[in-house]
Amino acid sequence: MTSPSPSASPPPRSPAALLDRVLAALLVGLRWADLRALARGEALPRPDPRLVAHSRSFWLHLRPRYYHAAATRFTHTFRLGLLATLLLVVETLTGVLLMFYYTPSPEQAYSDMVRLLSRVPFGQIVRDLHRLGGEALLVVVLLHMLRTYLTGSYKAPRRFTWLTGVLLLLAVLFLSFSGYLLPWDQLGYWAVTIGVSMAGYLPTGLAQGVQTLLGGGDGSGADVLLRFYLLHVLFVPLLTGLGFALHYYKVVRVGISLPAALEQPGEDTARRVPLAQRVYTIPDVLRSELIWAELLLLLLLGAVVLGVYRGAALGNPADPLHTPLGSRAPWYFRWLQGLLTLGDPVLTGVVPATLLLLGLILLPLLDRSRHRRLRRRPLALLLPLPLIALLLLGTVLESKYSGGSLSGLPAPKAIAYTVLPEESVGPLRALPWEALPPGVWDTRTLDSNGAPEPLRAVLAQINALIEQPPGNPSFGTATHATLVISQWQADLKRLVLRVFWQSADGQPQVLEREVYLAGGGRYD
Amino acid sequence: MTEHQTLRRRRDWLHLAVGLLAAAALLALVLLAVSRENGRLAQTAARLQGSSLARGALIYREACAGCHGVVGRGIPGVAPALNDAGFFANRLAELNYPGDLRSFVEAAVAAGRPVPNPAYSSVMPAWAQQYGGALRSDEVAAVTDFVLNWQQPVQPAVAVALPADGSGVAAGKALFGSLDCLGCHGWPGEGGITAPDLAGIAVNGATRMAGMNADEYVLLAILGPSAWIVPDCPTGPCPDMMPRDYGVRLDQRQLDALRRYLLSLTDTTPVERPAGAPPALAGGLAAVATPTPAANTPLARGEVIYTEHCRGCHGADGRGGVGSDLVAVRLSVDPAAYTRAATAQGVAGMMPGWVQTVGGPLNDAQLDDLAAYVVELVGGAP
Ligand code: HEM
Ligand code: HEM
Repeated sequence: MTSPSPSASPPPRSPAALLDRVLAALLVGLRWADLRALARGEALPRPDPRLVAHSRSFWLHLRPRYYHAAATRFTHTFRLGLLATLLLVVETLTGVLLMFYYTPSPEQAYSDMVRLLSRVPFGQIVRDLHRLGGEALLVVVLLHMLRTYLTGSYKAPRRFTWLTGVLLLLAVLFLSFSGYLLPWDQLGYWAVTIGVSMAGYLPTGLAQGVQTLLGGGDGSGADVLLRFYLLHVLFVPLLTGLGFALHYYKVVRVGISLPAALEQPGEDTARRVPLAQRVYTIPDVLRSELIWAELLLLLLLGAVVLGVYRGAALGNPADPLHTPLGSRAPWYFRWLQGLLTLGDPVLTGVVPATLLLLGLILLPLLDRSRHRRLRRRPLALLLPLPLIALLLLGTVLESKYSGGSLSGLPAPKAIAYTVLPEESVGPLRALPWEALPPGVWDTRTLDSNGAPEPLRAVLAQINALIEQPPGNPSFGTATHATLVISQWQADLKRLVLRVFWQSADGQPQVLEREVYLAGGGRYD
Repeated sequence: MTEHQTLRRRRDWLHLAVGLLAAAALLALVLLAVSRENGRLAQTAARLQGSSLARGALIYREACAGCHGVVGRGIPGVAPALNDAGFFANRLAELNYPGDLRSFVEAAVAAGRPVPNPAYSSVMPAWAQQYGGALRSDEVAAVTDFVLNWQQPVQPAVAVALPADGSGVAAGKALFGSLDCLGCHGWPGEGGITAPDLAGIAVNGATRMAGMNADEYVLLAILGPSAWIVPDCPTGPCPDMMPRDYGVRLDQRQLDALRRYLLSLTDTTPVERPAGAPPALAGGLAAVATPTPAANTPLARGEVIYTEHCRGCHGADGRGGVGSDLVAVRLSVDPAAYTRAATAQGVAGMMPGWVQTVGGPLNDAQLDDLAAYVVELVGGAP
């Protein structure tokens, strides 16, 4: 194709002409003169070289040529779909890097994680990016769903888009859930186990199906780990890719919905964009997407490198025979776990979860109103409120009465495990090494026994816990505690916390918790 | 230019600026990450090794301590010492083992030591899951880390400043008499028994370890006694025998008092023995020192006395250590009477007498409680 303007077309064999042709080859026919005109906002030659590029290039043909200006307003989409797409890319890239160093077997997985974190350059950064990106993706997708709900974009002709969206939501949930298991540490292992065990409340046949699929095998966990791994890195990503293709195809085909105020009810003008309202993909949308990508990366990498994100934790190696106190399901399942504490698991668990899922899938069919403006859909605005209240209620219940709390334990035990938890740091282990001098430290004499200030503060905290026990006081009441610290080996201290208490029938009792703490092993 | 174009121009410049700034910030972040990466790797490696070591300590406690002793000093007739200079220096050569110490320990833990040895009552079983044991491979590695870590000299504990008022010498002296220090070191200036005489330690303590003053050395010697072994004892070269659990048994004020007392021993003149009178624990020390009995029964009271005075030498399970195996109690005709007599009067040259009439800390009732506990501990009564 030749450019009609002679001034923009250099003599055929000059180096400039060569450069121009290289550029055109790389940019699907766009030439220097076109780029300059684009940058200056001047008129382009006809036929519009951008439109030609869209029909020639694979990547560009996936994108619309132009958007309706109203649909590109930030406050209309909040760029949430874009961010979700970018995060999927981040997850795939970091996920493949993680796969280089990971073997899905109970013997290997944990030590592979240790090697990744302590010997592979940038291993921890990649892991943190993958973890943080995964959590962010879930949040972004939920917000994106909320936005399409509020703008009424699930109504015809976008009902199928919504349906594929629900599929994507489930896929992303399962990716995140299955990912937790892979490091094969106590944190992930028990979070996933608790999650899978909720499937046990499904009707018998279904429950068995799910548990055989996800939890089958000989009990060592080898089969479960392999299955979760393959689902996590192969099957569900493929499913997500397919879901995304369907989803985005529909988005392009139908056009992003316009803000409802611009249309008559029942009308859909997204694909009829007047000339003056066109925002072209080249260069405006692409440029803005590039900037969003930069900002997203900046945010993720900044949080990871500057330590704003404290890093994905690695607990003790998974032990299928020992459930650490305080194990809990991943955050997005806690509402369900909490509701289960209310009583009959079918009524409080299976029924609400099934209704929620069915409701999401059927929403476009259930809502027959043609109106998309919120003020014409008061019910749509009110409906999510009880739902959100239920989710919050469940989450709060979980943290009060289920995995998140020690309230069911006898008070002395709850005290000991608050001070020295199993899979998290807790107040005592957080102290600097020097603040744990060898000796016997008694909470009754904390002001006179010469304990260094940080240790004294923890002793005082234990006294406060004795006053207001975090656990169930009906077993008996704690009176005081001693902490014995000894230098056990080079760089290794032994801490023995003894909580002295009286059982309900007046018998004096002692509860002992023994842990070791290494100088280099400080949780920081 | 139209107004529209002006606006557009302005927005273009804004985008360009944001884009370039973000790119520069990204580059800066990457450079920062690169410059920190080596330090971060080292820090993470130390942290993860540390938590493996701590897990190893717990596994040792649960799986190994019963035979090899809580602090790895071995139990005569049951299992050899692992926390022992000889083990680290000579064991591989003795066995003609071709690999290094780590692979030896790891293999011994994983596969056990199936060949019977006449010196020990049983063979060591295999511990790794692949050989039918209970430990995963990371657990075998962790407990190996723990055993090998005994090779490292114990770092001096960071000294907590002694109380400025100089008090505590008398209390320290009383403690010295009431703990089992006396059983081995004897009263300062009297020549020592099986351990070095401590007279003059306030001066010569500063010469023991490079860069350490007498106070630091004394603290180290109490809490981590193997760091320096005094070459000559009354009975020949000093054995590396001092219990390592004083860190468990002393609280900070007791430790301070002992330090204060030892730092008062500037010359070698024999100290005045606290004649006859029971060495009372001054200054409310007793209240802090004595673990509260779990229940007010003879056994519970006896346990407290045993923990405080006997465990250091005879071991938490009575199977011996520095002191002899209390199995003798079980073999005697009247275990309780035997125990009572032995504890009251002591054993010449080995264990001090504990009853108050010979200068010990215990009264008759306490001796009864103690005897009841010891009999219970080693399973005396038929
Ligand atoms: C991995 C997950 C997802 C990705 C990558 C994704 C991506 C996108 C993108 C790029 C758009 C274009 C418009 C915009 O940015 O808002 C879009 C639109 C849309 N998405 Fe998603 N989405 C995902 C999940 C979901 C979910 C969970 C739902 C709802 C259940 C959903 C429903 C919709 C609907 C209805 C539209 C049309 C919006 C309109 O036309 O205004 N999507 N999605
Ligand atoms: C939506 C996409 C994804 C989400 C939400 C997600 C989430 C997760 C999570 C939460 C973990 C645990 C991370 C940790 O403990 O540090 C994880 C681990 C892992 N993921 Fe993904 N992931 C996604 C996609 C992928 C993909 C596409 C791959 C491979 C191509 C992958 C490979 C891995 C591997 C190898 C691990 C184990 C290493 C580790 O635990 O850090 N992930 N993922």
